[in-house]
Amino acid sequence: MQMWDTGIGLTEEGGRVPLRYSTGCVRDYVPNGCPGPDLPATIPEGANFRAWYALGGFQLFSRWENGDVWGSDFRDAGNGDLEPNGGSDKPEIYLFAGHGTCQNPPTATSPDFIVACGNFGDPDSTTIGTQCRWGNGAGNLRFAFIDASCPMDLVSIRNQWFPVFRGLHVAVGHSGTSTQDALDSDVRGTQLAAFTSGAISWIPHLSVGDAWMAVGLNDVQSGCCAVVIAAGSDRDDAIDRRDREKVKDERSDPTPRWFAWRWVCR
Amino acid sequence: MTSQEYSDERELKDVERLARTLGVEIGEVKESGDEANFVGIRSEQILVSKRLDSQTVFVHDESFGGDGGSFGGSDDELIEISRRVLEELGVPSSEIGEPAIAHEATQAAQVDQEGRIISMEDPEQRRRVARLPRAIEGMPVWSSELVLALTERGRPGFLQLHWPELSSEVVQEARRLRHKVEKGWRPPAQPGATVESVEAGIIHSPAVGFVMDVYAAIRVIYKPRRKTIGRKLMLHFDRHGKTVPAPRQFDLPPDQPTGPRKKPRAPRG
Repeated sequence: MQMWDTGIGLTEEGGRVPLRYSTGCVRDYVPNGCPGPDLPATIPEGANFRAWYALGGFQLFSRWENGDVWGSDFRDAGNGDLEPNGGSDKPEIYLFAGHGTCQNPPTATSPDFIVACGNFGDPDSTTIGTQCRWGNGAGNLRFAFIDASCPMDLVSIRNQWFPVFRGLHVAVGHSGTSTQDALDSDVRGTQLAAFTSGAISWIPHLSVGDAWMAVGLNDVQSGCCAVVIAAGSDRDDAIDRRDREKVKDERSDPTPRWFAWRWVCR
Repeated sequence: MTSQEYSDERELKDVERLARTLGVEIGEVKESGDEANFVGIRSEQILVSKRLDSQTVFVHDESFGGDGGSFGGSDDELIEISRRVLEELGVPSSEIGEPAIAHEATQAAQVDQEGRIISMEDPEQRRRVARLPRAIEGMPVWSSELVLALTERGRPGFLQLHWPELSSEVVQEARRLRHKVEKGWRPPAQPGATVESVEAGIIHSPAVGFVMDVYAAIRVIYKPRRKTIGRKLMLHFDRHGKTVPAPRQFDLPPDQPTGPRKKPRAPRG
């Protein structure tokens, strides 16, 4: 049996346990009756992400694909995000690769979305700002990697992402429009994993923020921005987490009184 | 060449020489060695490493952005320094595509216990990152790039150069594909999307990985028919209109299938 200290995984005997990661990758939208197109790169993205994190000594929690990624996995309501076999708030690290939704352009009140095409857990579309609450209650998620379209629009970040942080440390995504979009590519998520997993000592071991700034502009259209946001107990804490927190740091969960975010645009 | 020229010591000296070439003030080397297809040296704060199978180099200064500050010179100066880095590493200037400077910005806000905004700071410009892409005879090599951010002292704070050798056969095939595109090659239709752009070039495995695959390809970007759906489909085709394999990072065995996922039981009563 395991119990969790403030951000550090400990067994009852005080031994350390590896942090857990999950991937939710959706390639098949059209065959399952959802608006497409399909996204073939999400599957190798998930596979490579897992390979890097396995090499880095992390523990796989779940690796669902296509119809087995449920919209409810991302929603706090009804404890969907704590579903024992694949809820996004069960592990400490979660990669979603799939569709998002872009406005053209977004405004301060525009919602951000995660869009699955599940065979359960409808609806497929999750409004991040009103339905995602990560790290609350029994939730464990510390690092949310959302490789979709426009899931972190800058103009609406305060409405869509401030409420999400309930123990979450850092999240990454993109800000864009339907003409300034992320392309279906396995490079961003996998290179993020390469730089953050600490798998090989001769690969730079970067903070989540630095890593996303370095790789988040791979295969995105001109005008699309890579965005990272962190919460902290005070201003210095939020900025330090945004810029310097590494996945292996084992920092305690922040009290979200300050938010700090950072972005770079193609 | 004597056996000494291929010794471990010589290899590490080469990495130290590389660091000096890049303007890195590495100081006292605390650690050196190799793992998988990477070799590197490390001081207290700075890592310099390279791949053994590709012209791929990394520099990372842990203090960068904090105590390391960031470069205060102009965008043109940053581009010029980046070009010199490539020149020092033997990259032909004819292969350098249109350089760009990416400006990082930051912002912060305070909230109360109910999540209401107490204060929202203005965005601030932070550091700049030079991104120099690669093109051969105008054809993009999409996966190659120099990414360079400098410290306040003009030294590399973060550098990633990924510029693998390309065989003449791959380049020739890219020329053939460009010819096909110019002559009206039409990409296959995809459900739920229409063609947005078509371009011939070269793709290869990304900077961090254990294998190096290289393909000439026609890149097709499709836009969703439903305009709000995002993450645009991007496919790469060979001369036969078949998709080329995604360039690998690992030599992975196929994943065991998962699923179907068990649905939660409905509550009783």
